[in-house]
Amino acid sequence: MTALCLTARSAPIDHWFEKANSFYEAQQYDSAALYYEKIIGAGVNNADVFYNLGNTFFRLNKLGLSILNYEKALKLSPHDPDILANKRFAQRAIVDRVPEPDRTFINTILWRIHTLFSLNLQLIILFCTLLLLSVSFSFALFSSHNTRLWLIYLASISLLFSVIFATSAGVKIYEAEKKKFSIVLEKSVDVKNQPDGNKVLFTVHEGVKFQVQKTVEEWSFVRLPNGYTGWVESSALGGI
Amino acid sequence: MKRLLVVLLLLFSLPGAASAAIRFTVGTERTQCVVGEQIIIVATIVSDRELSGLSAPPLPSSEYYSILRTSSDQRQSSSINIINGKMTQTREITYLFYYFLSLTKEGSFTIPSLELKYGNETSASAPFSITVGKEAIQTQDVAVTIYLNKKRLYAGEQAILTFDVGSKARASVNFTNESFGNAITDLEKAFGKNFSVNRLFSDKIGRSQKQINGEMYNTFTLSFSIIALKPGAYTIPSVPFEYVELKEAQRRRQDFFDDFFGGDFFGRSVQQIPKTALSNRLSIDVVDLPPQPKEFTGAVGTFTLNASVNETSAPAGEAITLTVNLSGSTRPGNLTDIKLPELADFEIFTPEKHTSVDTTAKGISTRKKFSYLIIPREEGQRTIPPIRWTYFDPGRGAYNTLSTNPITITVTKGKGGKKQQTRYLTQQDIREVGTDIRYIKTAENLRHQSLESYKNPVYYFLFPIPFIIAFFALLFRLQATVLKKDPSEVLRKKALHRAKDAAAKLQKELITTIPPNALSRVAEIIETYISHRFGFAAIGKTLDDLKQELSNLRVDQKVTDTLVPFLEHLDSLRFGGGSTDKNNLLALLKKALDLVEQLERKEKKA
Repeated sequence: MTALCLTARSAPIDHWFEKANSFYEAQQYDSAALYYEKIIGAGVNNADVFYNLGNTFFRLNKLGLSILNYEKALKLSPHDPDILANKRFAQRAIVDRVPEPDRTFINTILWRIHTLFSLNLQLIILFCTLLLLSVSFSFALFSSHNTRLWLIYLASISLLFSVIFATSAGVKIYEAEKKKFSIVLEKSVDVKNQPDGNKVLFTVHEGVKFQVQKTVEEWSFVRLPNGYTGWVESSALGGI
Repeated sequence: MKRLLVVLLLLFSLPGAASAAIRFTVGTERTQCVVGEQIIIVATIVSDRELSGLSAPPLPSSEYYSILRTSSDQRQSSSINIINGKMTQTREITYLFYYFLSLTKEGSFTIPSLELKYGNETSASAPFSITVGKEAIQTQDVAVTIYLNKKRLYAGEQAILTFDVGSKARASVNFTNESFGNAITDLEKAFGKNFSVNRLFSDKIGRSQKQINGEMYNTFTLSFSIIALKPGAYTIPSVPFEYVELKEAQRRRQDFFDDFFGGDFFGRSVQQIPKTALSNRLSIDVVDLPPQPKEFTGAVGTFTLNASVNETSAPAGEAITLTVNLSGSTRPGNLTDIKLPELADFEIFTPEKHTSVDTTAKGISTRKKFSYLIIPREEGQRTIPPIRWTYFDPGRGAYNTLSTNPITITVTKGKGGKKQQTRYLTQQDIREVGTDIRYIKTAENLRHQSLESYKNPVYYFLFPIPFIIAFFALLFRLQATVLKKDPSEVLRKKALHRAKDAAAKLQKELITTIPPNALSRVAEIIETYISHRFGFAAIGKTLDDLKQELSNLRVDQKVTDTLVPFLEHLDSLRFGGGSTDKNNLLALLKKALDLVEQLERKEKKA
């Protein structure tokens, strides 16, 4: 049903996309942003649209919104080189440099493996490794001694890869379900000790990425990669 | 004393003609007064030299006031500047003449332009009006004004908007950052989508003293750059400015400690009354640009363009940097890229672009620097023709084309001789010249991408498959192991299946011909089944022994009673020479199979 709806409305969406792109080319960025947002408002999630909108906001000097849209595009297409390049470029203009915690050699390797494939591709690979494991195991049950040895090796390797991919996919699904991230959209935001509190713990500027741990009314409890935490007005943030 | 301080303040803040040798101004502290009140008119003469014998300019008499007395004063200031070791001294002498007036009549009158003559020099002051009322006229303590430096703009032209918030020198009012924040937001909203509004200030707000309607105000000034986007006649509505008026209120003292620690020891308190002041409205007339020439790219303002090369002499095949600077009074989006003329003698690379924006009180100005790597192909005198760029000059109301001077480059013999050079022969390092974001994506047929692809139902079907395969493989393997351990069990389980196979084979043969051993094969089917099913050798046993054995194994008596006579009948046919035609044999085979199946059923039941 959803597919049918999307097919039915794909014509105006393609038209809006072309129109938005032509406005962008004509450097009429306000109008381009309007059309890209119209497409998103129609319920279409597409990495290209978010990427183009990110570019448009960058041209409009709205750094926070630009990075927010690049992040949204990366969620849909995590390895797109254009999105990665533009996000890096936009991040150069951020006032704050929040250092990421140092990773050990092993952690770096695990992180590389974890981010090597998209979740979708990872699930397909996981299915293939599980199938190889079960087939090699099944043949090993009925084969002669020498052949069985090779099949057990094959099954062991399949098992190892299955465990790695399943763990990584599990972590990704957990992050998608439980972890929420936001980008600072205002020029500067004071992070306070409590909702509506008087004490300012630290100040961050437009474009900084937070992990939102909980929300109480109009305030969000946020965490920076370096471990700093505090309360920020939710209206100053844009959820990824 | 307080009045005198205000007058002094007024004297130092009054603007004057900077370049004149003698500056002459006349002013007063306030222009709204009541009958019977005294006011002071001050004539100020500032000079860089001593003016001996200077007398007070005469103030004409009027029915509205009487001059009570006059007085004068003189001040002197000097400053020393040392620039590059050179010392310069400047001196300024200020002559002050005070006129103390008593206001006698209600109405409005003008202090006319006063004339000051000193030697050959003559200066005149600006006239100003004073209103005398019966009762004190309460003018607003806070005045908010907006004004644009141009009333008529071209679409795309930049103008400077000034937003002034002034409070009377003696007014007890409080302005907060929030007051300004809200007013700025309202002001930006008031201009709507037909104007681009950019702030020309940082966090600090400029503060000065200004005379508004003849009265002194402590004024906060904010400037904005306004760029009209569409032609039309616009009226900008009044912008509200919220502030707090502080009013002293007398109240009864209640508790000594409360009053003391609350800073209210003397029984006084300050009442905060929120108030709103409205600015004036603003009319702006935005006119469209005249018919545009082909080369026009949309820039409106005043611009400069220049071009230079880092080397005017270079070998063929070696890179030269051509730098083109374009700057002008507009925002970055309106300053388009330049287009190089046809340079057939050069190989040209994508330029490195650098944009910088300056925000000053005069507005936004943008500078763009384009650095082209150009490589001359052949030796000789090569010329870069003028680079042209067209914009609209609102001052002249016409389009203007800027042009750079032609640049001549002497290209000497390159490494590869006189022939054409290519960049591949230069062994030059490739360097990144692009410092911009990558271009937008223009894919056709946008498709919706799910953020939760892992919830796709296909995965629910796919993932159990490997486990099902493994489960069944394991099951079969376990079954095979059990069967391998007990062969008689295998025979027992397959007894019926084998009997049926043998019967089917015989039946097939009987369709074409009658095998000579057909009867013995029928008997064999039964005997083989009994041997496999019950685990003893039935073949070769006498019928009595067979009956006894089956009885010992507690095989169903009824079936045994049918089975043994049937075998006896078969034996009689085999050895007694009875009828053995095809139909008879098929009937016997069927009966044998029935008996076997009956045995199987009874055994399974048992």
